Amino acid sequence: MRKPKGALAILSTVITMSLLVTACGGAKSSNSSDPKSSGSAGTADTAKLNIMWWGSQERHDATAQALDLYTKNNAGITFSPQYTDWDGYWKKLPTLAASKSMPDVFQMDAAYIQEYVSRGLLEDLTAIDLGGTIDQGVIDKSKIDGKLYGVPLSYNGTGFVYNKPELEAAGMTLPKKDWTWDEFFAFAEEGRQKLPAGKYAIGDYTTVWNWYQDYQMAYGKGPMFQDGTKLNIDKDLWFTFQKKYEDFRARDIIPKAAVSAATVENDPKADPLLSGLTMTRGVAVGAVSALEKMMPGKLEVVNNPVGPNGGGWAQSTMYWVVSKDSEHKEAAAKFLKWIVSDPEAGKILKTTRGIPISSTIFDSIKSELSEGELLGIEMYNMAADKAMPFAPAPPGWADFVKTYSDTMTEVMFKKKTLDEAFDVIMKKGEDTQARLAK
Amino acid sequence: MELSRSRSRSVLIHLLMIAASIVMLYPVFWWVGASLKDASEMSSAAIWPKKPVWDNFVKGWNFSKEYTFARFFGNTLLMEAWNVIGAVISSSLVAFGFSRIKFALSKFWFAVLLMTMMLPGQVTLIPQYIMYNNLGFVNSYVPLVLPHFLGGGAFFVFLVCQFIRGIPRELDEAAKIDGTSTFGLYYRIILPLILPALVNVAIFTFIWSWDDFMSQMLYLNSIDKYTVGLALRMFIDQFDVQWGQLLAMSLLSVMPSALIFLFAQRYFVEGIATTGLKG
Repeated sequence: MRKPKGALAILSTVITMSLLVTACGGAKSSNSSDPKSSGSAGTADTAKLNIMWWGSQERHDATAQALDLYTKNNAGITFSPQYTDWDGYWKKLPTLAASKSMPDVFQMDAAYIQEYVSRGLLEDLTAIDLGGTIDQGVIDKSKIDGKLYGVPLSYNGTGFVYNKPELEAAGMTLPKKDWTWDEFFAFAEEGRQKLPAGKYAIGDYTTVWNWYQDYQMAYGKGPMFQDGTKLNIDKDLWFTFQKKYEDFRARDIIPKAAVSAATVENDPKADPLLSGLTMTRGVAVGAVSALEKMMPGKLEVVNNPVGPNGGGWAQSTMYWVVSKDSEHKEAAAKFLKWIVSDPEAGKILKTTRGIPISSTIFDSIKSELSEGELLGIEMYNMAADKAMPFAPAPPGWADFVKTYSDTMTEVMFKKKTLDEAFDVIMKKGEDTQARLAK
Repeated sequence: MELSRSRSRSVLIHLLMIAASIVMLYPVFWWVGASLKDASEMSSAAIWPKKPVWDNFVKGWNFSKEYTFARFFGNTLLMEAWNVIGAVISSSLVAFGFSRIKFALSKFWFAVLLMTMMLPGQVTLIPQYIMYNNLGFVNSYVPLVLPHFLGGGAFFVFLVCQFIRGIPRELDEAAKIDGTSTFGLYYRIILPLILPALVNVAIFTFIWSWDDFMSQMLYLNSIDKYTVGLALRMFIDQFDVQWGQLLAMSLLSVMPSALIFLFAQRYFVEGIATTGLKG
């Protein structure tokens, strides 16, 4: 009699446990991202939109608040938000894409959008009505093969900030909009003549692959990665460029290798600009405000040096996109129009996704923008007309970028000659190409 | 003479071992020190900060507006509890079946079981996600817990199986003669004997699912269900990482595993000796 009782006890425990677990999950999953449970499909009036983004806690909080407001104004539209950090996001999204369960609306980055478009995962949004709040030029720059797949969100781009009072005190020529690469190098040499010892006009960006890429693109030889699979380094240009920096290093026109290596960007003590080591620093639009905060009133901005083909880049690198598999495309489009053009939404979201590129939202928060953020926009505007296309390292090239930077560090420290470094980099490029071609 | 020579040798060996341990433990020391550093000192090589900032722990603990880390620890421990229960029950039951009960094609099924062990997780990841998504279990702990109840860890089944095979069959026969049922055999005879192996299963299930970041990230969407691993990721922004708080909280996050190792070590060593499993 006792034996079956024991068995029964165990069995029933197992069953109860599994039931408990399932019941728990069942109740909670009612607000999960299951597309089947998301209300009647198709209409723009009632829908449960799955929405996903990456970012900081601040962005999460603001976005959740904006979604609540939208639900309040549009009864019938609810959201099932998910958010994570940058790395996790790009690990999770491929699984969702492969299982055809991508959220209706999600955030997209310029480094990845090409890949998702080419796999046919994103809805063509060319016809979307953005309420005329985003500049046509910006929209055109965001298009891929003539179609708009992502609604651009914020100003981004590259340029330089410079320490105006110190440059003026030394009697240096100030950088000006659309300075050429020759003027840029001349500016560096002038720095050696006029600046006190231990101070430099420019920093040493030898290890930064896209700093060279900027040069190559300016001289019309195209981006370093083509179609995401081919490496394109123009040998002559590369050597011209690198020899210039090698020569500068030898003549103390740029800081010594050990000094450059010890700099930490945005660190209050080790940042080259903040510490007074260099008079200029390359910076992204979004990062200008952080620098301005630490050196209030001292900084001015200028775009990247230009060549015959232009210089630097200036465009949005963050987008909202709609999944091709979404059952609520209409509702999604309507929501996107709202979030990029409604001043109320703008007031909630503020600059949590960068400085808003939409004019109505920008106007609605303009008075709240800091000096630094306005300076960032000034930089964007300077760079916009000569800007070249944004060319990030495509997925799969992270290793190569690491090798590039490591190898060039060795060059800086004279552990490798330029010829040796070039061979190492090209070899790594070929390996990566072969791996991606598989 | 003999004594002093052996003593000096043991001193030498100890010195060497202490030196090696310090080298091995250096990252941990640095970690503890760094969790007390503020951002400006983070890049310095010094182990101990000039001015320890306990703020990292306080701010890190209350990082999210909605929940503190207590919630995330609670979530994780709840999930872990179910995982361990599931793994222990299912692995012992299944292993008992394979090693003690004769049934049709048992060798074949065992081979199938072993093959699931060879299957890389990436292969099953997407089909599994589709399945759970269709069942509506995404954003719940079900996809994380359920596999453990279904003999999910083929490796554990295999482990316990080998262990049971080492138990003399005479015990079974004696029990059968005394009139126990098959289940009684499992419950009264085998289960108490495989306890060391099950402790191993429990420990490893705990540690492996604590570390299994990928599926937690995949299946848990909303912050109220976040595990510690996911919550730690909130300190990392695309351009900006709150290193101090991240290191402080990750130090806390390894505590449960470390404590379990510490207190279960006796069973653990016993388990390794008898099953041949190493961490």
